[in-house]
Amino acid sequence: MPEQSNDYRVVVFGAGGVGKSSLVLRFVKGTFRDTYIPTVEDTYRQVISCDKSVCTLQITDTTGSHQFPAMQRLSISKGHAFILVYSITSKQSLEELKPIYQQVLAIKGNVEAIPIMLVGNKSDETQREVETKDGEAQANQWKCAFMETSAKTNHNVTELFQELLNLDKKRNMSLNIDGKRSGKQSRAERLKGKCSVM
Amino acid sequence: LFSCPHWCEYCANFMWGLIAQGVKCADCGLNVHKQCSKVVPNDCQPDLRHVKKVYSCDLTTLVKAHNTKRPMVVDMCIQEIEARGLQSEGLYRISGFSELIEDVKLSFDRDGEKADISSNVYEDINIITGALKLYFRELPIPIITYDAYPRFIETAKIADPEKRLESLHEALKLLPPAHCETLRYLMAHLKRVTQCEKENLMSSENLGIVFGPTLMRAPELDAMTALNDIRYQRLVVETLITNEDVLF
Repeated sequence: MPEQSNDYRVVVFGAGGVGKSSLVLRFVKGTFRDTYIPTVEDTYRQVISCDKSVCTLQITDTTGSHQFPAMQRLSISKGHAFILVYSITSKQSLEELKPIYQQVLAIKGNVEAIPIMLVGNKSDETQREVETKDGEAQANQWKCAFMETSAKTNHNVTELFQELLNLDKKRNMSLNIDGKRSGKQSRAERLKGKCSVM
Repeated sequence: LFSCPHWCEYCANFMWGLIAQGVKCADCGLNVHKQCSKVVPNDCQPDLRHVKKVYSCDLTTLVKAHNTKRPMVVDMCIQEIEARGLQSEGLYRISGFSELIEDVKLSFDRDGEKADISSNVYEDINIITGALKLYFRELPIPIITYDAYPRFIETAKIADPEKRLESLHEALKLLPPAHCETLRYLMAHLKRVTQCEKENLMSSENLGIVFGPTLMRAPELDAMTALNDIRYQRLVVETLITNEDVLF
């Protein structure tokens, strides 16, 4: 698969069942499906504007279980920005992000220049196990940004992606192309160059 | 390489020389001349003293050494999971904390069938499911062996469900007995997991996604083929679970 140089690659990590696919699908397609299907690996595309021209935002939705370390390393080394998702209903899902963060750190060396967003998803749920301040504290420690979202109620989802793009200081990116039409060219395709499964 | 004098256990003659006098079987510890090793029958009963680990040990070697039908990890994990109940949402999908899964692995390697995996020690059921999945992933030869792998993938490409079952049944015969027995036991368990789908949300399709690459690995490391195979792997495992009763 030819690498497009002006693609901006975002990789979504997180434990199984925290809502990575739901977040991505809400953002790309604007829908929420209440189904329960594990992801192997999917890649979605969205057209955004970058430095006054158009570029493709490529979002890689990964599998929740880190069963294929080689795959994970590949996604990290190819990624420009990272979304680390946990569920506010599971303390453990936050714990599980730690080795992933360590791996990003190990592969990228210096994470200060790399946009990373820690995301507490399922903010609509009432059975909370992780307080907002705990998420913030973790983000502080990791020197990354933090946000709570709900893919179900569409809370903070677009904001999450816009904020992530804003974090990249080397490029000037916006979800809106010339202030209108935000590309609905979502094209889900199984990326044949890399994959992993739970 | 032996540091003290040794006699060949096949021809009973002395093993000459200071280095490379002969070879030792890694499973049973039999010492023989290199020449003799070619004629020694290949049916050793592995000695427990030489089978130190449980994880990443060849499946057939492990069951022979312990004289069991199936690896004790598989039996013990499945029994523990069934005793705790199969209703847990995302069973086999949600991963347990990896440090604790490593801990389970260590205790199996150290204590074998005496390993304690009760809920007093590991409260979270996803640690046990994770340890079981890890066991299958770390097998040097996957449960669906490299030799049989292409045949299994071929079955998934057959559209006619009747014919697919038939060829899957044939493919199962290619597996070593211990592999086939372990697979049968696992599939019967996964079938019971799907019977609680209402609570745990794990259909045979979902379990196929999760278990496909765990039970099947492409023999050659060509990443492209391996990736193309993933959906067939899913289909194979899904078919095995759904038709577990007629296939085995």
